[in-house]
Amino acid sequence: MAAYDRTAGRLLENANVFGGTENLSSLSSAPVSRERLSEGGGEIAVLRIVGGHPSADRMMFALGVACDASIAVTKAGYADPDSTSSDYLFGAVTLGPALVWRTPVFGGRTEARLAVPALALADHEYGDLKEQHGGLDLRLVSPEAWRGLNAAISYTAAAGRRFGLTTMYRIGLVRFDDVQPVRAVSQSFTVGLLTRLGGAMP
Amino acid sequence: MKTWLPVLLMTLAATGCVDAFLGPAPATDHGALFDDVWQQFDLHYSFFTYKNIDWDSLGARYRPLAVAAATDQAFADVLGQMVARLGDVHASITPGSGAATIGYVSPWDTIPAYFNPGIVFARYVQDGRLTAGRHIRYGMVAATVGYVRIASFVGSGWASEMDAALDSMPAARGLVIDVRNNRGGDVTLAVNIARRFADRERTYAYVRLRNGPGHGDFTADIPETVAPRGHRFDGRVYVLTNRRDFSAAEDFVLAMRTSGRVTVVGDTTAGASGGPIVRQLPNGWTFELSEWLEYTPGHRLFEGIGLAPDVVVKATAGAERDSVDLVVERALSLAAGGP
Repeated sequence: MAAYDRTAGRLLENANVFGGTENLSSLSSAPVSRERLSEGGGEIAVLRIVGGHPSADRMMFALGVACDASIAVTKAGYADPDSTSSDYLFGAVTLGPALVWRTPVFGGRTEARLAVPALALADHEYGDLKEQHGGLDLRLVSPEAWRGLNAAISYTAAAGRRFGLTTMYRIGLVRFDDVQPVRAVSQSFTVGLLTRLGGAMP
Repeated sequence: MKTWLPVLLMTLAATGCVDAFLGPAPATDHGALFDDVWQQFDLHYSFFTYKNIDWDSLGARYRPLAVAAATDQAFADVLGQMVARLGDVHASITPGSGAATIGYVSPWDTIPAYFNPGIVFARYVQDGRLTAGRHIRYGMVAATVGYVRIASFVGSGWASEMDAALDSMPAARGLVIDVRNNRGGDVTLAVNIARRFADRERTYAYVRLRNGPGHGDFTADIPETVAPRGHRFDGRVYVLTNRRDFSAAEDFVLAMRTSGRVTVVGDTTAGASGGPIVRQLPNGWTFELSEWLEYTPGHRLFEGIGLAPDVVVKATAGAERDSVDLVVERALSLAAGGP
């Protein structure tokens, strides 16, 4: 994961990218398919600071829009006699309102972010990706068919210095009422070292 | 550590909301499982229109039987009976790991084929050998004619065994490839073997994939191609087929035929062209269904019809009793310049 954050006057620009692979396991006691999820994506947000001040030791509240793009390929390995595997693709680009709230806590900074997609373009392949032979095929999804949100809350110790510690909890929810419906909840909890590569905290 | 407390509390609160968002776990009662199978076939099965099947009627007929099934095995049998009505060897139910697959049994599997590979190797093949991976049996059947037996295309990554077999028969100017009683397997593997006989990239078939909820929703034609790779064999080739050739074995025949140096000898193939996909139920059972229509290069569907040979030779019980393989003998006659 990598993030970019810039404040210009009352404007806050933020971008981040992420990627990774995970093995999914079922809570069911039945021997269901083995699934490996490979996903990546990013978000660009442009927000206007409507309350507080952007400096690290002050509370700040910003409203704006966020554009989120993500693509995920799930490789399902079935427990059939031939041990068949299939790849399923789900990609989406969404646009919607976003808010960021930051406040100093114990010498560090706590930040809460929320983005709610209002417009979505999605590529939800009808069958196995290996058989479809096509490129990315995004189509506009009606607001009634798409529900979701992306939220994160983080705490960064020593946010104004060159190095700091950060911890973040993210949750993403997607409910896509397609012919083959999608219900997805992804959560992550991250603890990491933060390195400021350029600029300076105000 | 105290500073992480809000984050942890938020995590726990959000985790508690996840179940509400996702809804209840999929049900595993017979009614729900039946509906899952029926719906997946409804959304993905490719031959409803071609085979003139009223899927709604079949669902209405078999659902009460499925719900009333007293045991899981009885329930599996009901599902098997329903998908067997599709008359498709690529439509089946496997009720659990290690369980027998239930579905349509092709009549070609019950009518005698009068083919015994043992007779071929005992009577015609000199010094029959197996490739290192044991997937291909081969040997010379005449001074300049080699014989290759491919019993199955199951597995992957062993196409190079054909190179090894060809390298071991340097005197072969003609080749008999026997795929009789080959039930198929991996199409990619079958086509990779056929690439040893391709002169240039050619289209051997077209497929159209189900791509929507309507029974007539399909992609446009997608060409399936075969291009040269590996050891190149330039001589005449005789591919032996019969009614027990299914699926990937039929793709192999189609791919071989593109080169123009191949003569297919024997009987018509089974006609199992569906391109199967697999789905899994919440109780762990799996099921298979056809998701595409496959056409010959001349845009002819061959599901349930099969691929006719260039030279028809019917195997007979009498010949088998006499340890004679009429199909091999005809191929040898053709290789020697005969009719």
